[in-house]
Amino acid sequence: MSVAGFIRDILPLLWSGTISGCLYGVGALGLVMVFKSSRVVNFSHGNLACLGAFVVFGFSSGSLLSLSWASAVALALGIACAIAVMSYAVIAPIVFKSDLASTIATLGVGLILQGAVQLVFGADIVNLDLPVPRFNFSLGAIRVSSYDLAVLVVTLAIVGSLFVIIERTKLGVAFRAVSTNPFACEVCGLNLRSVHLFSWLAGAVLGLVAALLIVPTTFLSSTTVPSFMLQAFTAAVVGGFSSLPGAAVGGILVGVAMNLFSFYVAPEFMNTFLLGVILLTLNFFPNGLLERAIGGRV
Amino acid sequence: MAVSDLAHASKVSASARGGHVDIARLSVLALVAVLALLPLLAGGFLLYSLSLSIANAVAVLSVSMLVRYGGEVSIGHSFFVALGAYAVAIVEHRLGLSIAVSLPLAILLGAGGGFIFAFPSRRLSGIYLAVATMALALALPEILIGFEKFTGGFEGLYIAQDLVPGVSKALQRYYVTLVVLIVVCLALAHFRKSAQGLALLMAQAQPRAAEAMGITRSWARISIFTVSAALASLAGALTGFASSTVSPNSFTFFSGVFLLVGSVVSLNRLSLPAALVGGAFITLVPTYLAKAGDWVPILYGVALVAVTLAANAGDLRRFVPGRRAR
Amino acid sequence: MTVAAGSGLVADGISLGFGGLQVLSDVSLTLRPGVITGLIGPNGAGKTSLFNCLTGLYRGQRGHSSFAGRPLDGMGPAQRAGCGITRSFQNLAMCPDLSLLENVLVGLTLKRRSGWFSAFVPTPAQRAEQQDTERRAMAALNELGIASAAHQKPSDLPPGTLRLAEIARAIASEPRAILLDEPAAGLNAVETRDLIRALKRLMRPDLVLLVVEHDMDLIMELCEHIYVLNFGKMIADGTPAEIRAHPDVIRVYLGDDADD
Repeated sequence: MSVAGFIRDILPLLWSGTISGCLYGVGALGLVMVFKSSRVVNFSHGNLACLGAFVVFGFSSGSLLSLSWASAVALALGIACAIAVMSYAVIAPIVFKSDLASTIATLGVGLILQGAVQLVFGADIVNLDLPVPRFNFSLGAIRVSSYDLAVLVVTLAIVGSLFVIIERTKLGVAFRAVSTNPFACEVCGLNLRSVHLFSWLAGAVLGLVAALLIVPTTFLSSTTVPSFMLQAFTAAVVGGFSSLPGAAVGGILVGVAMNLFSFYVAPEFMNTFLLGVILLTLNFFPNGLLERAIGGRV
Repeated sequence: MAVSDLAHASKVSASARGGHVDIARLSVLALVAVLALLPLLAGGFLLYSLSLSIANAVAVLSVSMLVRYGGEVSIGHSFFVALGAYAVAIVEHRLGLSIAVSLPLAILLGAGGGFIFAFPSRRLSGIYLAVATMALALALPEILIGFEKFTGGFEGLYIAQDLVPGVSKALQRYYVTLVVLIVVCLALAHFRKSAQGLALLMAQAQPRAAEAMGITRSWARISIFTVSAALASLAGALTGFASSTVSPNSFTFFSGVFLLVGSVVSLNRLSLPAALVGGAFITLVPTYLAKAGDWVPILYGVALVAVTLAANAGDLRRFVPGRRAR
Repeated sequence: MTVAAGSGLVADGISLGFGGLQVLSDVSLTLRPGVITGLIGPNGAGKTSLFNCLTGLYRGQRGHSSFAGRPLDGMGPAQRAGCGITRSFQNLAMCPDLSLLENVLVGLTLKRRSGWFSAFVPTPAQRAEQQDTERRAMAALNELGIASAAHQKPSDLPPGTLRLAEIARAIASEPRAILLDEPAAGLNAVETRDLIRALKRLMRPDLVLLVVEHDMDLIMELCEHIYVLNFGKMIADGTPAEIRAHPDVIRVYLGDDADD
C-alpha cells in the first residue's frame, strides 16, 4: 500500500465513519439516558427502533397506508413513545428492586416487539430512504452527500435539544440529580418515576431517529436494526455507559474504528471486532475511554 | 451420593428433618424411571425432540447456574454451546474420533473460553457482562460462517459416529444425553455443598463480608462464568450429538436469549425437573408451534416478562440479587 | 508494658479524609496478642473508619499498619484475611440461602484445599475435608452456645443468635487476629452476658482481639486495654481503671452518663 493510496483512502474512511458514528452515538445516548436514570440496560432499545422504522415504512409505502413521510414519522414517534411508556410500566414494579431482573424484563419486551414486527411485516427486506434531494459535492478528497448533511444536521439538532433540556429545564435538573443520587432525590421529594419516564421516552425517540437515518445506508429487515444496536451498545461502553458526552464521542470513535477495520482487515467480522472492542475497553478503561477527558457529568 | 440428591439441594437441606424429603426424593426417582422408560412409548421424531430437550436442559442449567451462583445474566451462552457442538463435529471430521474424546475436550474449551471472556469485566457490575454477552451472541454467527474451512460454513457439519456400538442411533442419542443430564444434576447438587459453591453464594449475597473472608469479587465472577461456560459447552456437545448436525441455523442471536428464557421459565432452579421444564420449553415450543413461528418470540417475551415480574413480586426474592452499586 | 516491635497488629499515624472532611488524624494503636483491646468513642468519632482502615476496606489513607511485623499497606480485605485477620460485621452479613452452619463454613474457605474437580465430583479427600470443616464450624457454634440453631436459615433466627454466629464465623478459621465491629449491637442483657463470657473464653495468648463498641459497660468489663477516639483523634489509652479516671474521657465521653 502506497502512502499516496493511504492518504487517498483514509480521509473518506474517516468522514464516513464519523457520519455513521454520529448515529451510533445517538443510539447510545438513548441507552445511556435510560441507564443513568433507572440503572437498567434496555435490551429492547433496538427492537423498539426497528418497530418504529417499520411503522414509518408501512405508513408511507402503501403497505399499510400511503401517508406522507413526515406524517408517517410523526405517527411512528407517537407509537414508539406509547410503547416506551408501556415498557416502562411493565418494568416499573421491579425497577428499584433488582437491576438484573429489570434488565431481563427488557429482553422480554424486546422479544415481544421483535415478534410483533415479524408478525405484521414478515421477514421481508425493504428499502426506506430519507426524503432529501440527492446531491453530492467534493471537499478535497472527501465526497459529501446530501445524506451525510442530513445526518449531521439531525444529529446536531437532536443532541443540541437534548443538551438544552438537560441543562436548562426543571426536568433536566431532576434527571441530573436522579442519575447522581436517586435515594437522596426521593428523600427530597423529586418524583423518580417522571424522570424515569422522561429518559425512557427520550431513549425511544433517539433510537427511532438513529434507526431512520441508518436504514438508508443498508436496508430494513426485522434483524438489521436490532443488530445495528450492537454498535450503539459498544459506543456506550466505550463512553463509560453513564456519560452522555461519552456516548456521543464513543459513537464517533466506534464508527471510525469500524470503517477502518472493515476496509483494512475484514468486513465479515464486524461484530467480532465490536466484541473485541467491548472486552478491551472493559479491561483497560472500565469507566470509558474518555473518563479523564470529560468525566461522567451530564 | 444417591440419585435422590437430584431434588433441589437447598430444599433437601431445609427439610432434612421433615417428612417431605422422602416424597421429593421418591418423585425424582419416579421421574428418572419414567424418563428411562420413555423410549418404549415414544419413537421417531418425538424421541428425537425429547433427546434435544434433554440436551437443551443441560444448556439451561448452565445459564441458571450463572444466575444462581453469580447473580449474572448472559444472553450469549449460545456461543459456548456452539463451541462444544462444533468441537464434537470438528474432532470427528478431522481426527475421526467420537464424542468420548470430544466431550471432555468441549468442557475444557468452554472453561477456557469462559475464563477469557469473563476476565475483562471481573471488577465491574453484572450489567457490563450482560452487554458483553450480547456482542458474543451477535459475533457467533459470523464466526461460524467466516471460518468456513473448519465449520463447514452455512451448511455446517454432520456428526455420525456412535458412542456405544450396536445400539440404534435414536436410542443412543436419548440415553447418552439423559445419563449426562442426570450426572450434571448430581454434580450440581454436590456443588451446592462444596467450598466453592458456598463461597460463591456468599460473594453474591454479601460481597463485602465475603471479601473479608478472602473471597474476592473477581475470583467469584471469573470462576462462576468459567464453570458455567464449561457446562454450556458440554451441553453443546450433547446438542450436536443428539441432533447429529451442527449449523449456523441453530446458533442465531436469539438462541442465547432463548436459553435465558428456558432458565427464567424454570425459575433458575438447578434440579432435574426444573432443567427438563426449561429444556422442553425452548425445544418443543418452536418445534410444535412451527406454523405459528412468528408468535414464538412473542410467547417467549411474554413468558420472560411474566415470570420475572411474578418471581420478584412474590416470595422468590432471591431470584436475582438486589440492587448493587458498581 | 512495652511490646517488641513486630508482634501484634500495629497502626501507625493513620490519617483519612473524605473530601474536605478529616475523619482520622494521625491515629496510632497497638493491638497486642493475648490482650482484649477495646476501641470506644462517641458516635462519629471515627471508630468505624479506623476499623475499615485496619481491615483494608478503605484505601488511600496515610500512615502504616503491620501485623506480626509484616506490613499491611496496600492490602485489600481478602489479602488481609489471608494473613489471618478476620472481622465481624455490624450489619449482620449472613447469606440468606445458607443455613447457619453453612454461613460459618464459608468463614473457613481459605482453610480449604479441595479443588474444582472435587467441587463437582465427590472424592474421599474432599469428603474428609468436608467433615473436618463441618466439625470445626460446629465447634465454633458450640463455643458461642448456638449449635442447636446450626441447621436453621438466618431468616428464622433472632438477631442475637445471628450476632453470635457472626463471631462464630470469625473464630472458626482459627485466625490470629479478630476484629469485632459492635458485637453487642441489638443484643439483650442476657445475650450480652453470654457474649462477654464467650469472648473471654476464646481468648488465647497468641490471639489479637479488638472490640469496637459504644457500650461503655461492655468494654469496661471485657477489655484489658482501651483506646478512646474522639473527632478522629486518639485522646486516651490505658487500662479500664485509667480510662475511667482520665479527665478527657470523662469530659467528652462519659460526661453525661457516667453516673448512670
